[in-house]
Amino acid sequence: MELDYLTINEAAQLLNEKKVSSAELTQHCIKNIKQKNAEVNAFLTITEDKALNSAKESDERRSRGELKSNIDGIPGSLKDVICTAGVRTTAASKMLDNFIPPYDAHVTRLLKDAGAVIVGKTNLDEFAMGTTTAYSAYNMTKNPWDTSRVVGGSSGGSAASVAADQSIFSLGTDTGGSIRLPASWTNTVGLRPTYGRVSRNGVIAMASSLDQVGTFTRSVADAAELLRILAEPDTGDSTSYKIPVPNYVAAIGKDIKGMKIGVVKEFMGEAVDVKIREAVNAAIRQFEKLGAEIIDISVPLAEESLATYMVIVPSEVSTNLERYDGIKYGVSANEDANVDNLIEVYYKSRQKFGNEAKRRIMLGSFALSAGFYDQYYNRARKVQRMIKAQFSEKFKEVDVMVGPVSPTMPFKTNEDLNDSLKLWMADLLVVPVNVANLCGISVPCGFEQGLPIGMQIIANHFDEEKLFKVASAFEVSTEWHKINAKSKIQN
Amino acid sequence: MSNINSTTVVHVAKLARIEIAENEIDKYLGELSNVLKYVDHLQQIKLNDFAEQVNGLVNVFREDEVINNNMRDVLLKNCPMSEDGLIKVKQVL
Repeated sequence: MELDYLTINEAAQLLNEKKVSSAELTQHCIKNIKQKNAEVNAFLTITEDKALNSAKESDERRSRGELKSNIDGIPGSLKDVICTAGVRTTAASKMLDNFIPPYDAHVTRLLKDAGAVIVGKTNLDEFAMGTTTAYSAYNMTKNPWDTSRVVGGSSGGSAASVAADQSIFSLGTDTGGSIRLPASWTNTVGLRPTYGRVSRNGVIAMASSLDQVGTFTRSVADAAELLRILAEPDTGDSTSYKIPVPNYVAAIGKDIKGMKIGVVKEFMGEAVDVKIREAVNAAIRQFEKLGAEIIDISVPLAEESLATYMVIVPSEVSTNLERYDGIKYGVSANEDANVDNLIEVYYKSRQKFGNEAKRRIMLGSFALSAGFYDQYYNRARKVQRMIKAQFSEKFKEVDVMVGPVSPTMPFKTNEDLNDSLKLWMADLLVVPVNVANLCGISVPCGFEQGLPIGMQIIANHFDEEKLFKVASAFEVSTEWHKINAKSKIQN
Repeated sequence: MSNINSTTVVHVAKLARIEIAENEIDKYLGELSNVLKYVDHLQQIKLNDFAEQVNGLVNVFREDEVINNNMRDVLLKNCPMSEDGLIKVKQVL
C-alpha cells in the first residue's frame, strides 16, 4: 500500500475502506521521523508509544463502528508551544527544558477528542520568535526541499514534518506569519485563522494580542476539515469568539465565478523577488480563467504593518516572558546554593533565555518604560487601528486579497542569521494579516530552482469560508500542491 | 532620532532582570538602535480619526464560581522548590 504523502482526506478514505490501519499510518510517520530527524530536525520530542497506543484505540473504535470524526486515526504533530499533558513542552527554550505540562491545551484536547494520533512535538524558534527556526535552543530545522536552506519560522518544525512526510498535518502558531512563511517555503498549505477563531488556552504565549493557532496540511480541504474541529469557542480563552462554526468543508470545490479578488499593489513591489512576483502573477491569471474578477487595489498603510508589529511584539513579549522567573516552573537557579536571594534567582534563571528572546525582552522593556510608552507602544496601537480600518474599507470592494507570502526564497543555513532586522524583513508581507486581525492562507503556486513558492490569500475577519473557496478553486485547477519533497529527502 | 544610549541599555536590562556583561552593552545598544531606527517612522505617520477609535470590543466575564479541581500537587511538580504544598523561595533581602 502506497502511504507516502497522503492528505487527511485520502488517509481517511483508505481507513474507511479498510485498506490501511491507523497503526500502519502512524508507523509510516514514525519511520520517517526516525530516518530523517537527524538531518531535518523537525521534532523535539517523538511520542511513539502514546501514538501507537492511540492508533490502536482508533483502529478498535473503527472496527466497532464508533468513529469520532473524519480525522480519527490520522497522525499529526504539534508545535512545541502547544501544551500536552504529561509530554515535555519546551517552546524550544532552555528555560523550559524540564517543563511537563499538567494539562492539555484546548486544541490538543480537541484533536484527542476527535481521535487524532499525535506523533510528536515540533521544533520552532525559541518562544516562536523568529523567521527561520535558527533561534531554536535545540538546533535549527532544515528545509526538507534543500537541507542547505532554512525552513522558515517560527513554526518550522511543523512545516518540515508535513513536507518530509513525518505527519499528515501539524498545528502551529502564527503571530506574524509563523505558519504562512514556512508553509510557503515547504510547498504546504498554511492557514492562519482570524484572531479569536481558535482558542489559545494552553498555548505558550508570545505576543498575546496577535498570537493565533493554525494548521499545516497538504490540501486546502484538509485545512478546512481541521478548522471545523479547532474553531470551537472556549471559555478558557477570553478572546475566543463565541460565534457559530460554519461548515468550512462546504466551501471546498465551489465555483468562484464573479468573486472579486484584489491584487494588493503594496505586496508586489521591488522588495519582492521577481521570480516570486511572476509566480503570483501567473496564479492571478489562473483566477481570471476561473472567472474571478481581478481588481487592482492599494492598501498604503499595509506598509506600516511591519514597524507597528516590531513595536507591539517585543512589548508584549517582555511582559509575557516576565513569568519565567525560576520560581513556579521551568529551569531555575532557586536551588543553587551559591545564589543568596530572590533577585539573584531571577537574574540567574533568566540567563537561560537565548539571544533573540533577550533582545526582544530588552526592546519591549524599553518601549514600555516610563517616558517611552506613548512614543512607542501607544503610537503603534494607534497606527494599528488605522491599518485595520483601511483593510476593512478595502474589503468592501473585494472578497479576498492576494499577494506573495515571502519576499525572498529561503535563506541559506550558512548565511548570517543573527542579523535580526534582516530576519524580521522576511515577515514583511505576512504581518499585515496579524496586525489587522485578518485571516490568511499560504498555498503552493510555483517553483524556482527546485524550491517552492507560496501565494497568500487574505480575507476579512471571520471570513475563512471565502479563503477556503478561493484557495481550493486554485488548488484543484493547478498541480503545484501535488509536488512533494520525497525525491529530495532520499538523495 | 534614537532615545537610547549605554545607560538606557543598563537600565532596561535591570528592569527586565536580564544580566548583561559589560562587554555586551555595545552589542545590545547596536541591535536595539537598529530596530528603533526602523520603527521611528511611525512617529511621522499622520494620525486620523481611526487611531483613537476602539470598536466592537466587549468585556468577557464568567460567573464567579469555583472551578478549581485542586491541581495543587500536580502544579507543584513543576516547581523547583516546594515544601508542605507551598512554593519555597530564597530570602528577599
